[in-house]
Amino acid sequence: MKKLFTILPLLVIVALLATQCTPPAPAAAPTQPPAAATKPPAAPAATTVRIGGLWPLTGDLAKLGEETKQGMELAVDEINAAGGLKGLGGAKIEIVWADTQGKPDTGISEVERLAQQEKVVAIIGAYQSGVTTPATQAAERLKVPFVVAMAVSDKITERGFKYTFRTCPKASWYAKDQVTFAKDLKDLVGLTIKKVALLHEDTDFGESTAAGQKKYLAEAGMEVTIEVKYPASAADLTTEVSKVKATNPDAVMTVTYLNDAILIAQAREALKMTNIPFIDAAGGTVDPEFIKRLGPIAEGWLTMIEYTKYAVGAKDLNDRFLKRYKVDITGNGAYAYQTAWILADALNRAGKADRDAVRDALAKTNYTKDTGTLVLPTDKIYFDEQGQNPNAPLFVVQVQKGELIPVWPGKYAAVKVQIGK
Amino acid sequence: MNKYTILFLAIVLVILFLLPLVAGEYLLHMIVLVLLYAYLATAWNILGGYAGQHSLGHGVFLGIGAYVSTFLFIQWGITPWLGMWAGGAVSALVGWFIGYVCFRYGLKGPYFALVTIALAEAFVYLTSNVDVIGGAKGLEVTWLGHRPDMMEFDGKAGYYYIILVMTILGVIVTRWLYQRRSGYQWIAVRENEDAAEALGVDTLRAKIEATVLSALMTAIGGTFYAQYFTYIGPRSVFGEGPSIQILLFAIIGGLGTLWGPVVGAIVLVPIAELARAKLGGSFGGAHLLLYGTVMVLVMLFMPKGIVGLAQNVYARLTRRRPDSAQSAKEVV
Amino acid sequence: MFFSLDLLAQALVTGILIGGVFALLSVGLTLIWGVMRIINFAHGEFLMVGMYIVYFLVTKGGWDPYVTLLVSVPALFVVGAAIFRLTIQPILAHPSMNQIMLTLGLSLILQNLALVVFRADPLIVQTAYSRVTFNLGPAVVRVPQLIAFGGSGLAAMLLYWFLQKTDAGRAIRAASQNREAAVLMGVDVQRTYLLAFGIGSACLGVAASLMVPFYYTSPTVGLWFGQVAFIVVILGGMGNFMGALVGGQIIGLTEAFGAAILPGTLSRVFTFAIFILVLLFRPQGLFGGGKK
Repeated sequence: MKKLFTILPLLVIVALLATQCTPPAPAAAPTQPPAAATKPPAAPAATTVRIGGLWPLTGDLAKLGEETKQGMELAVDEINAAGGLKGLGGAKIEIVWADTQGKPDTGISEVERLAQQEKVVAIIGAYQSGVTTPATQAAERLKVPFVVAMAVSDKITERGFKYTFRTCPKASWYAKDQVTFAKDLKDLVGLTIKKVALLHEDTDFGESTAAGQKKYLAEAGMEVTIEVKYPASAADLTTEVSKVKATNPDAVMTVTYLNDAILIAQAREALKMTNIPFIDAAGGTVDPEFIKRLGPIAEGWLTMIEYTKYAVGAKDLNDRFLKRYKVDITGNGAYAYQTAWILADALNRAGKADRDAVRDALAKTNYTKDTGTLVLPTDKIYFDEQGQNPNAPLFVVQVQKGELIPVWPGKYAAVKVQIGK
Repeated sequence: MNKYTILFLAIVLVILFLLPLVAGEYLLHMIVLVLLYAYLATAWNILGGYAGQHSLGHGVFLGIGAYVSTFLFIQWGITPWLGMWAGGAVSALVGWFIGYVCFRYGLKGPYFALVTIALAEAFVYLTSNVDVIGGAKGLEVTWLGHRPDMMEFDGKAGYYYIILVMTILGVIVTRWLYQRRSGYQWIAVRENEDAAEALGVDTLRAKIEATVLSALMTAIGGTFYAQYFTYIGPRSVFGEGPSIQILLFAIIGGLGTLWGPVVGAIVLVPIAELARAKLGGSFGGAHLLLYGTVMVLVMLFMPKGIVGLAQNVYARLTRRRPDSAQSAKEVV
Repeated sequence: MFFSLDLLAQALVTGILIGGVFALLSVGLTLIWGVMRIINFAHGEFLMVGMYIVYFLVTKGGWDPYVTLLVSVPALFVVGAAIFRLTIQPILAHPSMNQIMLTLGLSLILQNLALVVFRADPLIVQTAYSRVTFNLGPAVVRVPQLIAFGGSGLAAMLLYWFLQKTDAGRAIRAASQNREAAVLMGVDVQRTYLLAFGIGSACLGVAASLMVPFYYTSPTVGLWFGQVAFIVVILGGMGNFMGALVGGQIIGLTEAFGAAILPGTLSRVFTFAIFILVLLFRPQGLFGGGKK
């Protein structure tokens, strides 16, 4: 024992000294760990650049994760087919997929894996706000650029992070538009909305959107009759919808993923609430699966969406997507698609597969139709000092005859909105 | 402990302390995980291995430690170096309460285990529904950059040293405890509670003591967990899952032995992490599958765990029968 | 909090219906526990296995979920008996904590095997009557849940008849009441245990077929239901058949009313609180009788 007590203080001193040396900033060139660990892939040849695709590929949101995966895939294939990354001598992009399983813990460890083991130069992800928030923090610590293609919690681009960028809209923007739409219903169909019930899933996505909804509803002078939260993996939501019904709202604003949206729609039908407009904030309801599973019950359902093939110039992308994947593209897919193009542009301008260089290039993004393929109905995509893209438009679509058709705002409306059956 | 053991340990320690100078980030990450689970399992072992009260709900203490220090950090910027003691204190209090109520009402063995699982799960649902501590979203430990004073480090080395020291201390404290009266009392309670009672041991107090100490240690581990992963949610720390993971290594390594938990972690964690890294995306859950399989095999074929088996083999080789009092004093 | 009679009426209906299913999940567990004093932590996972079997029969084989009973029941019997024979029987004499650890290990294996093979996607089955509902006063009754309730009751009655009227059933009851006496009376205790475990598991096969029409299948579906089964068994009393039925209803109603009145999943805290209180103050359960 005595020996230990003499050695220990010495070791402690060594330890304290060692912590003062911060390890070298991780670059694309791998630092080989000792042979005991798994061998990392051979240092990438100059002709391949690896980026990470972090999505919920399995789990409750696998369907939605698949949409984003397909969007990213399509973009990268198109980029590679057109000659790869011109700024890096025609290097091809390789996507390393990482599955978050829909869980924050897994998301974090996958970011670690992508950064440390797979040595990706940047990451695109991660769909769920609840996963993206900690995942981007992990990326920030590891100094890996993370471009959020789809995850809306406001906080994600409000933390002063340097390595986090976001192309898609913020939760509060959805909320704002939901409320504006509710007000506009008076002019569109003569329906005055005064009392609104909130029904949302309980993670970051639901919570931050609901916070926005409450704020804008208060500003518009509308009353919130009740706020009901539920876990997205709940098996039955009849009770929750009953609670909502009991408060007699004029409209219900929801924030859902896919399975819960289906359950809510079914409960709405069973409880005979189809005369009350349910306005969802994207999430699961934009997935074609939603319409497919519900069939006629889906008719009339209203939701916000980030992309619609009915917008000018948008049909082209939809056709390409439809051809390859046999379904219409959704907002999730479109943003993943666009974000991949934006990242490619940043890579080109950076001129090398270096994380900090890419980060700086991303910050200077000024993406227009002339820069590359631009599929969103906006003129320019760039990132403000917080890494947020301010030009992300939103629409309200309604399920009519088995399709999501834009009904608002006026300049994008393809049909008239129908309330009540 | 003979001088060969001391020499061996000293060499190992030197290597461990010098490791970050040569090891890559991923290897360090792996070792941090090994040490974390070794530490948590050692803490659990005080109650489960020595005192023989198998808690299947240690996630409660892990979670309390993590949530208290993180909450203090986020709300008032209090450094986790202090926060962990606050978490430890709350956890010890809760542990005292649980121990008192359960043991006062004579809960033993499987019934105690069931209550602990129920508590762990109840805490999950409780925290999921209380917004001020993050609700179902959990809590994010704000990243302030390289701030050793706030237990945040660039790179893994900082975390590595912390958990290394924690684990070493954990083992030392455990050994010290069971060479004192508390230790003998716990073992007496574990082997035959009625006899111990008859011999004048205050079994209630002994069991509560073990619970409190175990809770305190685990909670401090919880703070480290929060700082290392920078995110905690109800199911990451409370609940059946984490609770079982903690005791897994103690059981497989060898219940009630000093080095059992550490050995268990050293053997299993790397295999599991490698499985997860290699098969990762396509085989999420592979590492838990591994843990489960090992659990079943160990229970079937070597219920005394790795160290227990080693002790038997050693005893047989030196042709001594392993008697309880003797092995209670033995380190390895 | 906002109460409305409609909401409470709905909770009553939902509670009773789901309580029937809870009871079915628990009779198997109480049987096993009462007979062998084994606490099977993998109980919920057996249900999960059953549900996957049913799911694939329905989606790939085109079977009607209720017809799958013909397969799910014997399949679960075999699975249960096999697992018992291979892993649990060898350690029947070992300390109960070892048995608990083993079954915990089993539950990890089953859950993660399912995860690896089938992935984590929740699988839902749609049948012609999945969405059929009718009104019972202000409450809405979903037909699949009603059928599950009825089916559970039927299965419970069958099990009761079996235990009371058949030799094998009586042997099981004898072994659970007094093992030594049973041996003296010529009962093959080992075989009886095997039978009991198999039957306990087979009950889950019934539950699986009944639940798939209105519940999703996923590797983790057994977690909550396994816990519920434990709670019901302790509440009703280990080994007590009637206790499982009544306990099932109590927990079903607690859950349903809790969900109606309390926000989010807070109701589960109450369910666990009941569990803990029973363990502390009346560990033999409401219907007493089982030995500690």
